[in-house]
Amino acid sequence: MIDIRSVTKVFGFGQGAFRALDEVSVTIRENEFFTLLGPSGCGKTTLLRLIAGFEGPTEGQILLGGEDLSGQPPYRRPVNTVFQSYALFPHMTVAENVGFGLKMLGRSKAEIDGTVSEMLDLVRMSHLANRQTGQISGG
Amino acid sequence: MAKAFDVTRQPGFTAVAIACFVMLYLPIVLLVAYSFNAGQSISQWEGFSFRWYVSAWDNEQIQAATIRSVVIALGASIIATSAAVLAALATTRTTPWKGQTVAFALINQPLMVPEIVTAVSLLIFFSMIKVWTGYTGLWYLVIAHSAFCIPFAYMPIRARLQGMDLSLEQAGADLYGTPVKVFRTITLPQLWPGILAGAMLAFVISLDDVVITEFVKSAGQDTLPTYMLGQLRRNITPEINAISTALLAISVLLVTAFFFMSRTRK
Repeated sequence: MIDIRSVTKVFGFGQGAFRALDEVSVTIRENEFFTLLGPSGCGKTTLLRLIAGFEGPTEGQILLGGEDLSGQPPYRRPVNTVFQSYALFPHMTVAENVGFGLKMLGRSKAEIDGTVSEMLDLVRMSHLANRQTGQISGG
Repeated sequence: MAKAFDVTRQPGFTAVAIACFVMLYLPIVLLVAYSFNAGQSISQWEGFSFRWYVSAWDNEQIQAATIRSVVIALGASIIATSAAVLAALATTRTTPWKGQTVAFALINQPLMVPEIVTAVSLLIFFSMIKVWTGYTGLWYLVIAHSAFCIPFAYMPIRARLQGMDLSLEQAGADLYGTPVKVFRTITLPQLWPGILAGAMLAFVISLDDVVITEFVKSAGQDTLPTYMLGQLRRNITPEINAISTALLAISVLLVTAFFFMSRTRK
């Protein structure tokens, strides 16, 4: 469960300050498919970046399963973000891109290879596993 | 009938361009040509010969100065590039901090302070250390060269870092990569061309420095450029032309090699 408690995010300070989020409170239950809709610049991405940990909230708390996430760096948060511009690693193959998270978690090579080929099979991309990301279409 | 007016045509551009190229390259062409002179003179042509290349190659002073130059340039470019990588990371990959502008100015200080001022201050500073420690080795030159090579190494590395997509490193962190792992697996592999460019630039800058070397060096620590300067005070032979031509060939080769390397890596 993600619990967002009156989160405020202000970028900049003084005259140039911009309030991107103002006392936002949301509760997202486990397995819930939750969609944020809104016009451009209304703070959807800011909220996601706060949950991922790329930015810290100016005020308020974000709780995951009852635990306060503030102060936790992104790599210690068990949440994952799909980036707006894909964010594929250009110097790695498709397989290396898919297996990156597992590799960072220190899983064995056999386990990574198994999971990667399983996942690529699932989306019918096994034949592209050894291509560089620049050599495949954006899909 | 008048010709149609074309804004992309600049009248006289060709003539100015040719004049500039002649001014820039004619002296170099002459220098290279006279390195093959058979006679003693650097301005009177007496026939073609490789004798000055042979004599430069066999000259023990030139050999020693060349080795010293390369050792200093290697040491300085390694130290300067390491420092430049850290500086570039601190000025592009952190949230803006107080004093960042001051730090930027300090990093680039060698570009702004006149070289002669740096040279004199290093001379005084190092002579104090020499009195305290009694050490008179090559390290003074390596450290002095490292200092003024830092901004040259820093510029291409910073440019590369600024051109790199920050969201890749964020994605790495999002996928449980600790800062050290993200740096090793994502930042560094993409940064290599910049680091190589910075190191090569630092190497070349160190290799042809005269002013600071002349002030800092102890007796018997001539580098190739200061040796050449010393020779000019005595008798000038095409040997100087031959060394210069060799240096020119090496730097052209380095630049070409780097051009092809960075092209295939990108």
